[in-house]
Amino acid sequence: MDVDRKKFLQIAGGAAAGIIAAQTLTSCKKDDRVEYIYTSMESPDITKYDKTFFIQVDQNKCKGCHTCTINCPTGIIDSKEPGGLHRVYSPDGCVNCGQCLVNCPYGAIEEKVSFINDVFDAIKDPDTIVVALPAPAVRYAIGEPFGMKPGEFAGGKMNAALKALGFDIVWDVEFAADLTIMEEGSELIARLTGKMERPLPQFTSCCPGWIKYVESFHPEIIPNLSSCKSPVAMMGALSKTYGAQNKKIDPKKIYTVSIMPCIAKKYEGMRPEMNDSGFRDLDATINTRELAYMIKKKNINFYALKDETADPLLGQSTGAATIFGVTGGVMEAALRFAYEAVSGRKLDSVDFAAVRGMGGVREASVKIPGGPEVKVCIVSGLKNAEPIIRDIKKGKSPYHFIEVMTCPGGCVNGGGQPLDPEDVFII
Amino acid sequence: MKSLLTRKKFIRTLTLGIAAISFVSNPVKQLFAGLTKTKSRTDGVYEQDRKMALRKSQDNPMIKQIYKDFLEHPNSHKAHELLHTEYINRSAGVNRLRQSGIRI
Ligand code: SF4
Ligand code: SF4
Repeated sequence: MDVDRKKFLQIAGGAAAGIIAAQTLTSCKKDDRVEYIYTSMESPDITKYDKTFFIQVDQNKCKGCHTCTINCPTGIIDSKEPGGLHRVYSPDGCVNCGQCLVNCPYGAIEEKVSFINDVFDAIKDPDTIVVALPAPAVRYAIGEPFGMKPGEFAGGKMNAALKALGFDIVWDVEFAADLTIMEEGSELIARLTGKMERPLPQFTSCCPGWIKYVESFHPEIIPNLSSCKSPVAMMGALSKTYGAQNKKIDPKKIYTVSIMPCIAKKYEGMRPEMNDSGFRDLDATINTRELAYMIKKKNINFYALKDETADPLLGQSTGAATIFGVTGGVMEAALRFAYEAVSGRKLDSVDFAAVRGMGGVREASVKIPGGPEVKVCIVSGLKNAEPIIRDIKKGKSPYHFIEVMTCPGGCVNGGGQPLDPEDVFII
Repeated sequence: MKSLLTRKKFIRTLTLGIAAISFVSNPVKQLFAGLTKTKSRTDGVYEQDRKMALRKSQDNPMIKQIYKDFLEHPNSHKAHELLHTEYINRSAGVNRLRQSGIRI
C-alpha cells in the first residue's frame, strides 16, 4: 500500500486541522458573508418590526456610484450630495425589497438582521417541532450556489436538504399558493358580481414589498388590496391549527420557518397581526441565500441528495402554484380558476400566454363564457405601478384585477435570491 | 537610467485602469447578467408547470380535503379568521420624512 501509517496520520492530522480552521472561520457569529452578501447575524427584535433596518449601506464600502438609488422603487436610499456616500435614510419608506442590495456592484449593501442562529437553535432543541415552509421561487435558484444552472428545478433536492438540516416537517408554500387562488379568486368574483362591497380593481396581496408600499405611499387604495394574506402567512396560521390538529402535535411546540426568495418577507413575518393561530404564525424567516449558507455550513452535499417530496396534508401543489414565482403567474393561476368557476366549463388549454412576458406593465382581456370580460393588468417592478395607481385615484382605471410584484420579473429575481459570483464584483 | 515606466508606476496605472473599467462596466454588465438569469429561472418555472400532472388550483386533492375537513368553503368565516388580514395606514412616517426634506 502506498500510504503508510505515518503518512496517513499526517494527512488525517492535516485534514482535522483544516476542518477546525474552517470551522473557526465560519463560526464567526457577528457578521458573515452569506452567499456574497454581508449579513449581520443579529436576530431581529420582532416588537420593533417597523423600526428595523433590514438593509443598510456599509459606509466604508460605498463608492457613491448611485446604482442603488436607480434600482430603488421609493428613493429612500440616496446621498446628500452627488457622488457622496449613500444610505437608507429610514425604515419608513423602505419596502425591504433588497433590489438595491442585489444590484450594488461593490457588495456594499448588507442585510442587517438574520434568523439563521434562531433556526439552528430551534433545530437543536429536541422538544421543538421545526416546520420548513419553502416558497415556489426558492426551488428554481437554490441549486445555483451548488453548481446547478439558473432555473434548474431543485424542488426535490430542496426538500431533502431541509430534512438533512434537521427540519421535522416540510410543508410546501405552493400548497398555500393554490389556497390563495381559491380565496383570492373567489374574492374577485364576489367583487365583480357585487356580492362584496369592495372596490374594483382588486390588487394581489402576496408581495410584502407592494403591501408596505401601498400602506406607506398610497393608503387611499388599501380597500383595493385583496384581503388575502400572502401564501406563507396562510401557511403559518394553518401549520399551528389544521396541521397541528391532524398531526396531533401541541401547537406550542411548533416552530415555523418561512423560506423565501425575499427580504421583505422578514418584515411580513414579524407583523404583529400575524398571530391568528393563537401563537406567532411565523416564528422565523430566512431567504434562499441564507438557506444555501446553512446547507454549506452543515457540509451537506446538495448535489448528491436524492429527491424527496414535501410532507402530506399541506404538501401537494399544482402548476398554478409553481408559477407564483414569476411575474404574471398569480394572474394566470387566478384566471385558470375564475374561468372554470364562473363559466362552469372546463378550460381546453390552461396556458394564458397573454399575461406572460417580461414587460413592466402588461394588460390582457379575457372573455369568460357566461360571465364578464375580465380586464387584467400585470405590473413587474414597483415603479411601474405609479401611473396605474394615479388612474385608480382619478376613478379612471379600466381594470378589474391587477397583479403587482415589487421585484422586476417577480420573485425569481427577488432580493433574497443567490447572486452569480461572476457578476458580483467585490472590492 | 530612469526607465519610463517603473514597476510601481506600472502597478499603480494598472490598478487605476481596472478600477475605472469596473466602475463603468459593472453596473451595465450586472444589469444584463441579472436579466438573463431571471429569464432562465422564468423558463424553468414554466417548464415545470407544463410537466405537472395537475395545473389548476381547484384540482389539488389536498385543497379539496382542507375545505371539506376544516375551512368549509372559500371566504368562509373560518377562512376569514385564519387566511385574511387587514392593512395599516403607514403614511405618517413617509410624511414626516418628506417634511424633513427627503425626496421620496
Ligand atoms: S430595500 Fe428596496 S425600498 Fe429599501 S432602500 Fe433598497 S431598493 Fe429601496
Ligand atoms: S416580488 Fe417576491 S421577492 Fe420581490 S419583494 Fe415581492 S414577494 Fe419579495
